[in-house]
Amino acid sequence: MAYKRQIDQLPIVPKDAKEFNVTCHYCIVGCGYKAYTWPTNKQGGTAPDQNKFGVDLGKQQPAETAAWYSPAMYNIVKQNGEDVHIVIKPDKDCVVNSGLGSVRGARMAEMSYSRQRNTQLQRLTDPMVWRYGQMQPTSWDDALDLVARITVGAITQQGGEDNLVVSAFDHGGAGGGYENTWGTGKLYFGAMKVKNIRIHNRPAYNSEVHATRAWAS
Amino acid sequence: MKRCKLMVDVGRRQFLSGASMAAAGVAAATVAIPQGKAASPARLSYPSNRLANVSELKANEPLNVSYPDNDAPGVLLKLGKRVANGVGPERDIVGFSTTCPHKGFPLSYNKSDRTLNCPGHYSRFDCEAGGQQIWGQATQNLPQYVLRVDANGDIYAEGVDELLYGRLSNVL
Repeated sequence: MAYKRQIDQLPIVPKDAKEFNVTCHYCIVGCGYKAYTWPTNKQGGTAPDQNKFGVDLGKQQPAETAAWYSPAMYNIVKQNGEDVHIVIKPDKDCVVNSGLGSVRGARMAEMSYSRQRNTQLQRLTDPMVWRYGQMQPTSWDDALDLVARITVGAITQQGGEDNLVVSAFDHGGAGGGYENTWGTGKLYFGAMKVKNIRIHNRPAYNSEVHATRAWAS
Repeated sequence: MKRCKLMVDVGRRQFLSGASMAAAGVAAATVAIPQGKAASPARLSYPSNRLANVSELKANEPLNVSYPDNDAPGVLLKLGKRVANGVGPERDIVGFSTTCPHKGFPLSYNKSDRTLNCPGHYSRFDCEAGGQQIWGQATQNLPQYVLRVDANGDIYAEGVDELLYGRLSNVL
């Protein structure tokens, strides 16, 4: 059966909730979102002067309203060490997306780490190496040592730079992408001038999209 | 339950010194439930609304309804084949909200593949699969009604399984 959250009401963003203009942390398009956070012991109300949107939330809102968010846009997360409610919803005043949200970006809140609501608990905390038939955690020293020795071995023992093939991530600007790719770029393109490198989900170091299409890394 | 007045964990020195911390003088306050104030329920209470009778439904013809109030349009569908969550004698009657969970545009029913489709940004939902979003922008599958059919064939809606578009509580 189709998955249903069985959520039939959400906390209302109070009028004095903290408000942030944020960018979606997924693809390079960079859609604009509003993030609202407020303490866990507070809530907004349906009266126009009690909620962030200034409308009567006791009434059905029309299509394309800015005064609604789905359960995917709500969570409880840590902010400066404290638990807070958070709502992340598309920003209709952003020229990039004018309030639209994709099925991925609109779920940013739900896809955040929350111990209280058991979302995204599976964090990557250690380097992982394939050993004995499965991915196993290891130390940074071990992981870096492995990469270094394999790299050197491919070049010196297997006949030269042509034998070194690298499969790397490069997922665009969001989610630490600039930082990650700065690292791989400096190492493989800057220092090593590697000959054979591809991004993990495509056959070369190429774009994900075809021909004249814009907006994808 | 009352506060424990025994000196079990006071500590040997204090006990022997005779210091009576908790025993005397502390009023044992029992917490009484305030009379006349109903405890607020943990979940919403949905109305049980009669939407139609089984005899009014024709196979593959959507019947316009609204639930839980008139500002929340939807349809009842007799799919003609048994589906999970289907009610009625053939277990083929389902009900869905027809407000797209993406941006609130009205969905329209496509008879040939039993889907509800949105003209706004082209999201599509499969009525035979519990409103599964086939493709689209919505962050939910299509909200479906919890239905019950009584001995007279009257169909009641008694709940919704996702948050309806445009309201932060399914029951306003």
